[in-house]
Amino acid sequence: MTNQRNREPGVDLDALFDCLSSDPRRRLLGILQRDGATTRAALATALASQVDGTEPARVTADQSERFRVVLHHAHLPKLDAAGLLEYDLTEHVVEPAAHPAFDDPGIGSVLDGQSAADPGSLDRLFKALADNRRRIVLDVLSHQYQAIHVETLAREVLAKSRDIPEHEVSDQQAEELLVSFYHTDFPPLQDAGLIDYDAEGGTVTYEGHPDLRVPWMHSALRPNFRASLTDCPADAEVGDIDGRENVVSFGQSLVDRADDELFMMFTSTGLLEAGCFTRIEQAADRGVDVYLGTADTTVREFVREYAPSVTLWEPETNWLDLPVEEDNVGRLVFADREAVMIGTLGEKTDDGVHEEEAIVGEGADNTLVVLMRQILRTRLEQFAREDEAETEVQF
Amino acid sequence: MRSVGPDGGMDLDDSFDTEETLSVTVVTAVAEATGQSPLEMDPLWESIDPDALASLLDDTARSASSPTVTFTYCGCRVTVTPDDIQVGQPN
Repeated sequence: MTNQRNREPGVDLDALFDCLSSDPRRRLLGILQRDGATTRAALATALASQVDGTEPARVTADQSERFRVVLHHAHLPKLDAAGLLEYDLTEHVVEPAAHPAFDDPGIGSVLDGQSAADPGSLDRLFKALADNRRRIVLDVLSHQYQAIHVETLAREVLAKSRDIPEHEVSDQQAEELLVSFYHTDFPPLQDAGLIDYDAEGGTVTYEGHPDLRVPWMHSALRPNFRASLTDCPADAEVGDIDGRENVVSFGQSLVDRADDELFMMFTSTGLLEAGCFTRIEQAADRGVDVYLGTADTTVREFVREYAPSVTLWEPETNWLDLPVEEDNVGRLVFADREAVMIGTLGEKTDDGVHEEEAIVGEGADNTLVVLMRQILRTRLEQFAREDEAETEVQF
Repeated sequence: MRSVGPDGGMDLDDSFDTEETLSVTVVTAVAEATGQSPLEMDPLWESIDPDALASLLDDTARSASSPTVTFTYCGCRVTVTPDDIQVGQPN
């Protein structure tokens, strides 16, 4: 049994990611999304022109014929079966299909050719993602603070995929999964650079990929991501997210989608998981202004060393007049001033980890977002001024 | 032009290194064996996924393990190895 709550309803994500694991197919979908319905012959010429780097008018009959054969025998029937387009075998006409993947901004930017990764790297990324268990492996790893032992990983993955508590996972099940990890799952994940597997120490670490989006690891697409984490309706003004794992995932997805500015605060130490830090680094790399408030000295040193463009600031006790000293607010992520997540820390559980829940608001007109924008305006303006004044300020 | 008759073998050249090349090569071989045009035949994908075929056969490291794949396409038994395609007599 798989965890139904985490599965995209009605969409075969294995088939989707398998389709996306080929450069010509990504180009083809990009052309089709841009230009709409067309003939197979026109598509062949457009694709030949892109792949071979010749102008459309200079594509030879031979080149075009060759791409028509490949389209007809390999790509079009495969994409049609995955519901990504409609291929009419008698009229040789190709039409775009309405697939939820096209509403996912991460997939959209890959199809628009906006990714900085080379085609081979994207091929390997999507190949690795074309399997539910490998997506769960990534999800579990991105929530760790450091490398974890393969057996711990196996137990967590089994618990998650079967929706059972970890102590119900038997030794034999864990053993069997280790064999599959070693022979089937780790090689493509390593090949894509998504994980680092230390065979000698028996540990695995999350590495990530700049084009990997958090909802995909949950077997969801962006528009439905929040609904997959919460029981409240997708159009609710303020969403409610329960449980540390879900809070971390949603927070990471906000970091993912920031284009211009990312304002974050972590009041307690030890809240910056590997998946979070990788994403913050990637956001800074793609030119997002990142402001990170944390009192955790380890995190501050780490950020200074690995993501020096991130502006560090220290949360003050009177910050926003919220009782930070009581550690009520644990995480705050505010992306592009149009999506916000405020997470609160509850009691510590037996294993020393705080219980967490969060409220989220999305959209520039969302009440919670408007409120945050008002509250943070002064602080954000101050950062902007300091940025302009070529930050001499030491935080 | 390479000629492939029924039961005749076809050597795969160096360009046989992408799924495109492999599907074109297989389809061309069957087209010539059955006297059809590649674009009039049913999509190869309906018989075997060219991606899967390519991942079995076109990887240098893996092809050292000499995989052989046999399937039926357009009424012909087609056998592909990393170096060769054999197309059997159409039924």
